[in-house]
Amino acid sequence: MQTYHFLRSLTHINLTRPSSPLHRRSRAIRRAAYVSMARAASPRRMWTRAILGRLQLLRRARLLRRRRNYKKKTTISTPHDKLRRLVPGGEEMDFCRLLEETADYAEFLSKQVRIMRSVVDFMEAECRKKEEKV
Amino acid sequence: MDLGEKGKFGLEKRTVDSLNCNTTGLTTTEWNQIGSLPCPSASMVDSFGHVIWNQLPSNTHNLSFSNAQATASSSTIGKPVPMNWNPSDSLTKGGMFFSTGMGMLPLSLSQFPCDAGFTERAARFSCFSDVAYPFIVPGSSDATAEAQMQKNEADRIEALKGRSGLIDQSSNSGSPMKEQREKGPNEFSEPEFSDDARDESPNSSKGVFGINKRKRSNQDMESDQGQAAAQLPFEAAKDVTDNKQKEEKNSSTMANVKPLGKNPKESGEAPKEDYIHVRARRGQATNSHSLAERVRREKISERMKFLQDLVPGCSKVTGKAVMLDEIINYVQSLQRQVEFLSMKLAAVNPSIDFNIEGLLSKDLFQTRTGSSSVIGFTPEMIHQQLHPPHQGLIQVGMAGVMNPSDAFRRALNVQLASTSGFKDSTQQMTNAWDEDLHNVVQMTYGNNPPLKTQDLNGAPRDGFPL
Repeated sequence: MQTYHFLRSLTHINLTRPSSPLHRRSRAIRRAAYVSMARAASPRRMWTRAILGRLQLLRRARLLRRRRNYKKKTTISTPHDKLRRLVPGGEEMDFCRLLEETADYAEFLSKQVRIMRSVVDFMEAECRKKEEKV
Repeated sequence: MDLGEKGKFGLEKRTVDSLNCNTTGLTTTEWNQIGSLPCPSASMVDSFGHVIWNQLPSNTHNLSFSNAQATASSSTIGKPVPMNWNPSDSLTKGGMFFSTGMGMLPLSLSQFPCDAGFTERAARFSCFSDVAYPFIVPGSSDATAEAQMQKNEADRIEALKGRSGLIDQSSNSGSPMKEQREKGPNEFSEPEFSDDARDESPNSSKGVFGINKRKRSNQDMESDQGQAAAQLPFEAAKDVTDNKQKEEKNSSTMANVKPLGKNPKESGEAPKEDYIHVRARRGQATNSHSLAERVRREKISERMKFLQDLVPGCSKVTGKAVMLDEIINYVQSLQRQVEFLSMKLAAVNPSIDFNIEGLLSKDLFQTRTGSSSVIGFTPEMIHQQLHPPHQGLIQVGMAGVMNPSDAFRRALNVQLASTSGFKDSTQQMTNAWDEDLHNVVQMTYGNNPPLKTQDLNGAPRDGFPL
C-alpha cells in the first residue's frame, strides 16, 4: 500500500515536472514519501494527521502565496522534547501516547526507507543497463 | 474501650509490621505513645486502616481475634469497607482492628472529622511517621528509600499543615480528592504537561502540595519525573469515585516516596487487578493517584520494551534515558535516510523511462480483488526482475510478515525469463500473477491486520481499522 502510493506520487512528480531543479524535486519526493507513509498508515494516528495537515497547509500556502512556516522554538527542556520534535504531531501528546506514535512512525518510516532504497537501486540498475546498451 | 485501645495497639503494631514486613520489638514502645491517643485519634487509625485495606496481605497473621471483632463491628461500620477484604487474609487483621475502631467510633466518621480532630490526628500521624522511620531503615532494602523518607519528613509537616488547611476548606470527602488531583499539576515543571484539565487547579493548598511534590520529584531521576509528570494528569482524570480518600492521602503524602527506577518494579510485583487490590509498600504512595501513576508507568515501560524490539540493536540497552536516546537517534537516522534517498531519486529519475504508472494501473484493474497491497508487491516484483537474488527485497517490501515462498519464486522466474522493459514484463507478470493472486492477496490481507494490531502490544488501543 505504501509502495503503491509512493511510486504513484513519484511517477507523478517525474511526469509533471521533470525539468525543475534538483532540490525542489528532492523536496517534492521527500514530501511524497511522507505523504505515502501517512496514507498507508491508519488515519487515527496522530502523526498521519499531522503530516496530512501539513500537506494541506502547504498546498493552501502555495495557492495563496509563498509562506514560510515559522517554527516556534519551544523553551521547554524535557528529555522527551527531542522526540516530540522528531515525530510529527508529537508536540501535544503525553509521553505514553508519544511512545506509541513513535513506534508506529518508526515502523512506517523504516518501510518507507526500504521502499525508497529498492526504488533507487532499481533505477540505478536501469541506468547502468542503459549505459551498457549504449 | 480498653479492648479497643488494646486492639489499636496491636493493630498498629501489626500495621507497621505489615508495612515494613519486618517485625521488631521496637514497635511496642512507640505504640505506647500512640496508644495514649484519645478517642479522636482513633480516626487516625482509620487512616491507617484505609492504608492497610489497600494493601494486599504480605504476612500471614491469624485472624481469630480480629475476626470476632470484625464481625461484631462490621455492621456498625459507617465507612465503606473495601470489598476485597478477605477475612482469611493476614494483612487485613490490622484492618479488622480498624474496622473495630471504626465501629466504636461514631458513625459521623463517614464524614470528615472536625478540623481540630483532624489536625490532632495529623499531628499524631507525624509522630507516627517519625517513629516509623527507624523501622524502615533496617527494613528497607533501598538506601534511597531511606533517604527519601528522611526527605519526606520535612515534606510531611508541610503536607500535614496543608492537609489540615485543606480539610478546613473542604466539607466533602470529594474535595480532597479534587485537591489531590490538583496536586498533580504542581509536579509539572514542564509546561508541556500542564495542559487541558490539569490547569484548572486554583486551590490555595496547591502550593503546599506543590512543595511536597516538587521535593519529591527532585530526588528522582529525570525520567521518573517525566513519567510521573505524564502519569499524574491521567490519575487526575481517573479515580473520582475511588473509595480511598483522605486517609489514604494522608498516609500517602506522608510516606510518599517517589519510587526510583528500581522501586516501580518492586511495587509492580503486586498483582494489580483493581485500584483497591494494589499493594503499596511502606513508603509507597497508596492513594489512587499513585496507583494510577504506577499503572501508567507500567504502560510506558511496556511501550519502551516494544520500541526496544523495533529499534535494531537495542536489546542490550537498559534504562529509559538511554533507550530514549537510541530511539531518537534511530528516528533521526531514518529521516535523514529518507532525505538522502529522495535527493538520490530526484537525481536518478529523469534518466529513467518510468512506466510504473501504466504497470500499476494495469495491475490494479486486473486484480479486481482490491488488493492494493498486492500492487505494492508488484513494483517489488519489477525490481526483482532486475535483481533476481534480492529476494530479501520482496520480504522487505512487504509487511515483513508474509512468507514469499512459492508464489514469488514463481513470479521471479517468470520475470527473469522476460526481457527488459516494463511493458513486456508487465504482461508476463500479469499472467504469472493471475494464478498466484489468490494466495498473495489472502496472505497479504492476513498479514496486514496482524501487523497493525501487533503494534500496540496489548495496550488498550482503538485498533487499526483494517
